[in-house]
Order: sequence, then C-alpha cells, then structure tokens
Amino acid sequence: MRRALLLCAALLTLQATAALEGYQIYGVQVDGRLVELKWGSQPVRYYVTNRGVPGVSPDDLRGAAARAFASWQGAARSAASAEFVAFTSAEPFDDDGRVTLGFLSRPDLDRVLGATSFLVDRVTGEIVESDIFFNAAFPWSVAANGESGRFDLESIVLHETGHLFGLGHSALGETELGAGGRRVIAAETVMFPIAFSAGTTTARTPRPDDEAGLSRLYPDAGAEGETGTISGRVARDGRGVLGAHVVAFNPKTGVLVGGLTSSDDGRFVIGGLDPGAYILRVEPLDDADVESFFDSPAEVDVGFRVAYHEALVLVPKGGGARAIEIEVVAK
Amino acid sequence: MRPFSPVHVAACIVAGVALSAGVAAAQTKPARRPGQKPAPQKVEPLPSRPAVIPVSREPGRPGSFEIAAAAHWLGAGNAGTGTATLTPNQAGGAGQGFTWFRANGEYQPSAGVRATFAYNLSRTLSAEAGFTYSASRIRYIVSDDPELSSGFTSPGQRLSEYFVDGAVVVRLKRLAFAHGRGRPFALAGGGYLRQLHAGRALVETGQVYYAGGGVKYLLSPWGRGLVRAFGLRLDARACVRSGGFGFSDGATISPAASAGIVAAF
Repeated sequence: MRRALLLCAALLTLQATAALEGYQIYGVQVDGRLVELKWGSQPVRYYVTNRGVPGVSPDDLRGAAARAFASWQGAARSAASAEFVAFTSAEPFDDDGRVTLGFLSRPDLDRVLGATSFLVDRVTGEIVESDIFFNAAFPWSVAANGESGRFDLESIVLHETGHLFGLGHSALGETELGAGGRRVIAAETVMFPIAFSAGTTTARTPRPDDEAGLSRLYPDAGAEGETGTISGRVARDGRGVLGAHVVAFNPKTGVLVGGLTSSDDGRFVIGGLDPGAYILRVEPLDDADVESFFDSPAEVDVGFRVAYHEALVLVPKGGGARAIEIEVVAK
Repeated sequence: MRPFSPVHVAACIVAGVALSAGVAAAQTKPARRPGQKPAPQKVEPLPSRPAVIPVSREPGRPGSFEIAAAAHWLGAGNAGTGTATLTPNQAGGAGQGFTWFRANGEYQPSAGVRATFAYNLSRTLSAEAGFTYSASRIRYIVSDDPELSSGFTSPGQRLSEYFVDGAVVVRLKRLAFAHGRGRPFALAGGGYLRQLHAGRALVETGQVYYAGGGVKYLLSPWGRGLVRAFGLRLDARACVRSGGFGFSDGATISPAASAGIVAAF
C-alpha cells in the first residue's frame, strides 16, 4: 500500500486548535489566549474496549497500550504517566468522561489508521477526556517482530497516545512522492503524520524529538534545570515565515529535535534540549500535508530553500540560547 | 662561542681586577725616556674560562627550575563529523540509518600564549607544568544534504581555549650544540582542556595530549642572583584534543608551536 496512511489527532470535539510556538504541541483558545493542551493531573486513567480484530485480541490491545504508555512514561525528563483501569464495552468517542482506546471499523476512512479525540475544558484548557480509535478496516499485528502486510499496533498506539498526552505532529521525516501517493522514507520521531509501512516495528520507541515535546508539557523535577531552549525567528525578505520547520541537530550526540514557526512573525522555540552546541537547519513543510500541522495551510510558506544558521547555537544548562535570526530565500 | 655560566662571569671579573692591578703596577715604574723602546714585559695570560662548569651552578642541574613564557600557535584540525540520521522505513529492524546530512567541524588556526614551569629532576629529565590560552575559531561544513546540494560552510565563531597540562621533558644532551648553549629536548604530556564560547554561553571540557620537541638556547651569562641563565625556547608539537566542542568522541590532531623566553633558576 503506497498511499499515505495518516495518523490523526484531528477530531477535536470542542474547538479548533492551533499549534503553539515551538515543538509540535497543540494549543487551545481560552479567554482569548492560547494555552497548551494538556492534562491537569497524572496518571491518565484509561480503559480498553473489549472487542478485538482478526489477529489482535482485547488482551493484545491492552498489552500494546501498556507498552506504549510505558515507553512514554520512560521518556527522559518527563513526568507523564498512565494507568489501565479496566476493559469497557463503551466505544471510543463516546462522551462518557472516560479515556477509551479501541477498534472501530471505518472503511470510509481509507487513509486513516487511527485518530485521537479530545474533550477540553473551555475555562482551564485542560483535557477532560481523550479517546483513541484504531481503524479495524486495516490488518493489524502485535507480533514481536512484526508481520508482513500488517500494521504494527504498538507503533500506532504509541503515536496516538502521544496525541493523547497533547503532542501534535512532528515534521521530522522525509518522504517521497510516487504513483500511489506519498511514502515515508525515514523519520526520527514517532509523531510523524504518516505511518511507516506495514510490517515495520521501528516506531515503537519515542525519539529525542518526542521526548523533548513530552518533557515540555510534563516536565519532571530536573527538566527545567537540566535542559535549555533555542528560540528565534525565521524570515524571508525580512518578513516572518509561518510554518518553517526548524531542526536543532547536536553533531556530538546525533540528537535531532524539531520545531515549527507557528505565527506570522516567524518565531519559534525549541525546548527540552540537552546543553551543547547545535546546528540549526530550516526547511519548508513539504514532506507531509500541511493540514497535518496547521489549520490554515494556505498561509504556510513552503516556497523557500533549505537554510542553515551561520553559527553553532550554544544551549546552556537551564537557560536559553540567544535569539537566533535565520534568513531564507525563495526556491 | 664558549659555554658560559655564572662561574664564567665571576672569572671575567677576577681577570679585570688583575688587569687593573697590572696597570697600576706599571705606573709605579720609572718614566720611559723619549725614543726608548719600552722594555718587554711579561704578560701573564688571563685565566681562561673553566672547561667544566661546576655542577652546583649549571642551569638544568637537578633540583633547579625554569620558567618560560611564549607566543603560541595552534594549527587547524578536524573537529569530527556529526551525521544527522533518520530511522529508515523498512521492515525487519532498524537497518542502516538514513543519512539526512553531515556536518564536519573544523578548528581554524589560532594564536595565544603559553607559560611553563619546569623542575629538573635530573640532568636529563624535567617535569613541566604548562598553561596555554588560545583564541581559537570553529566552523562547520554541511554536506550530503539532498535538499541543499551546494552544501553550506559557516563563517566560524570564536572560541577561547585553555589547556592546563603536565609533561615530561627529556634533554637530548648528545644533540647539544654551541658549546652547550643550544639544548634540544623532547617532550610528551597531557592535561585538561577547557573551551569557552565567545558568548560565554557554554563551556566544554576535554583532554589534550601532545608530543614533540624543541630547543632552548641560553643567551645571557647571568650568574648572579636568582636567575642563573636566560635564553630562548622554541618547540613544536603534535597536539591531540578530545572532547570539547568536537563533533565526535574522536580526537582532533593539530600541529602546535611556541616561541618565547626562558629563565633558569
């Protein structure tokens, strides 16, 4: 299957979201201000539906969910956690105040492997309920080493539970366009909006990019003092660029952490970075549908060339690098 | 050229006194008549400089020490390569990563100052402690980026480097020249590297190792007081830096040289 299989977080039940500046984190409008979409308390208590699909029993689904949540719980410098409560006969997307993960057969969504919904408190901006569905119209597998022609459930659960915690999509991947659509070549995040091919199990572990995002939402006690940030602005002909993908690369450790310019002024913030020297690379958002990242794709500038910042950006422990200005030029 | 030493200086002073005494003695002789040839006088040869410098006053003797200050030059060096790698979309394991781009770090030539303190353990062996400050620069070069085929080279940025090191210095007595004034040596050592970005935003530490050789040339026959000798010192080394702002755990090898003055005590 060559078509892009989307991993969605688009089914927001209360209100539209906008990407907050920096990493792939959602924001919600509360009293005219944008606040991060996140849970007010931990652990997140979740239910799993008592219905399986061919090759995957409810217990298998519960096991995959437990492993995925454990992976997030083990993410560096994050205090996010989750706890299984019970099996349930309720369906995902029922507004019952419960976090429910389960299969739904949606053959009409022929490009969607799974999706996450949110119920958000309009006053505080906190997530009240979040449900995840996995599309039973696709073949699934929970085999340790994957199965040819079947999608690895744990990988997809990991992606969707990342949304459940409040992470948006990351653009840290490369794709190619073929006759059958867009295909992922490689990615260094589990939050890339297009899934790896069926049979692949390499997206079962959060990458530094994912951990940085989770740490920003749910920092543990040491996160603030141990990590630093890079902030700055991407401009083209002096005007801010919306939707530029800015990636911080630590050449010593190989760590890659991405962020997006999320407003017209072209500003970005990349947090959760270990102290060190970073190379900044800026690219247009052209490796996935822009709709996967922004509600208003028409305003996103994808017409500029890849650029690098002229100097290493130095991130101190517990602080921020000086503001960076990167000028890009038209393709 | 003759070997000198504080003893040599003392000998000159003694000779001068003897010469003055001789002149004074001549003035006490009867005045010479006009046209009369001066009577031949027996001139005693001046005391020659001693062939062997007493060990107790020779620079480099065991238990003595030296201090040197020099201008320092550190050559360019490869600071390693970092590869931005993405996890490939392929079944059956992670396989080989997908190379997104590579960044090669490069230390550019730099100048600074170096000071050393050496304690002579024996006539051939010294222990030396050194401190070096160098105003360095680092830049990076991006390659293999499929979306930027022209690559990218950063203009470079300033870096302050500090070495605190210790070395063993072996005096190569067989290669001495200019009657012992020229004193070749070999040295090897290592120590602590501290690099500070010009913006003082970040400090990186590492190690520095080096080996090389040089020569001290003693110029001034100072013998009195604390300073026993004074001269020039040149050395050249292969300098290995690891850690610091380097892009990999590998070592950066650079040529290094220093030239300055040395005082022996």
